[in-house]
Amino acid sequence: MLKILKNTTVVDVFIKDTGVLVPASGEYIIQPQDYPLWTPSEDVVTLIVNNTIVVNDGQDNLTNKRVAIALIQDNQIVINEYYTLVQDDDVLIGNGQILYLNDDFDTTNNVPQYLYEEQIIEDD
Amino acid sequence: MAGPFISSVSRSVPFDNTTNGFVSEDVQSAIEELKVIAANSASPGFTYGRSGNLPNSTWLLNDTVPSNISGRINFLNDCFIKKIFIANQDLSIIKIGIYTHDGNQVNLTLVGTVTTLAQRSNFFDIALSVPISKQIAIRIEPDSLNPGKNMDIGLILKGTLT
Repeated sequence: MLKILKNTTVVDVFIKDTGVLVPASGEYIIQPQDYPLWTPSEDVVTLIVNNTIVVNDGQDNLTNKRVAIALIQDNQIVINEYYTLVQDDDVLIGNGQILYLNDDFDTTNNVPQYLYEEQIIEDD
Repeated sequence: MAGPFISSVSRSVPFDNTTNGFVSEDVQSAIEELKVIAANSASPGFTYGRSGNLPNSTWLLNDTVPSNISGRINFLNDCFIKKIFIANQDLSIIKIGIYTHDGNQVNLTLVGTVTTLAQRSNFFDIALSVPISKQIAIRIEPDSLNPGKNMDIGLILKGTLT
C-alpha cells in the first residue's frame, strides 16, 4: 500500500510541517522512511479535511477522510462486517462494511464508540 | 621574567598592527592577543539530509526535523558560512538555497544559493553572513534544474564565541 498525496488545486500546496511541496494538480509519494515524519503532521490533516489534498493508497483515492488521515498517521484500520458506518452526511462506506479507527473500538459493546453515538442520533 | 638579557625579548620587539586587525604594538602582546582570539574562535559544522526522491522546493531535515520548522541555531558572533558540501545519489544539477529564520519559518530569509555540477560530490567555498541566534535551513530551490535524491549537505561556519 502506498501513501500518495494528490493536489486537487491548480496551485502548488506547501505542507509546512513536513517541508514538502505538492505541485499544482500533481502528487507526492511519501517515502516509507518518512512515515514517522508524517504521523504528527497537522498541516496535512487540515489539507485533507478541506479537500485540498486527496490521499491515494496506490489504487484508489480514499474519499473517507477519516480513513485517509488514518493511513497517513499509520493508525490501524479494522473492518467490521456487521455494522454500517453512517456519517454525518449519510455516506455509506466500504460497500456496507464499516471502516473505523482502532482507537475508537469499544470492546465492551463490540461497537466503535463514535458509531454507537451516531446510532443513538439515528434512532432519534 | 628576570634580566638582563643578551638577545631581544618579545616585549621589546615592535609589532606592526596596521595590516592585520591586531591592537598590539609589541610581539609579546600580539602573541597574547592571538591566544585570546584562538580561544574564542569557533568553526562548527552542521549537516542536513533527506532520503528518497526529493522534488524541488523540498526542505532538508536536521535530525529528522524539517529545517524550515526548526533549523540549526547559529550561536556565533560575526558568523559566516564558509563552506558547503553536497552529496547526491544521482549525477544531477541541483540548486540549493540556504535560509535563515527565527523558528517555524518566521522571518524566513534567503541568504544564498549554490548550484552543483552534475556529479555526486560537490563542495564550495562561500561567504554567507548569518546573524547570531538565527536558525539555518536548507532546501532544494523551486527552480532547481534537477530534483535531489538521497541528499546529504554540510556547512562549515566560522565566528567567535564571545
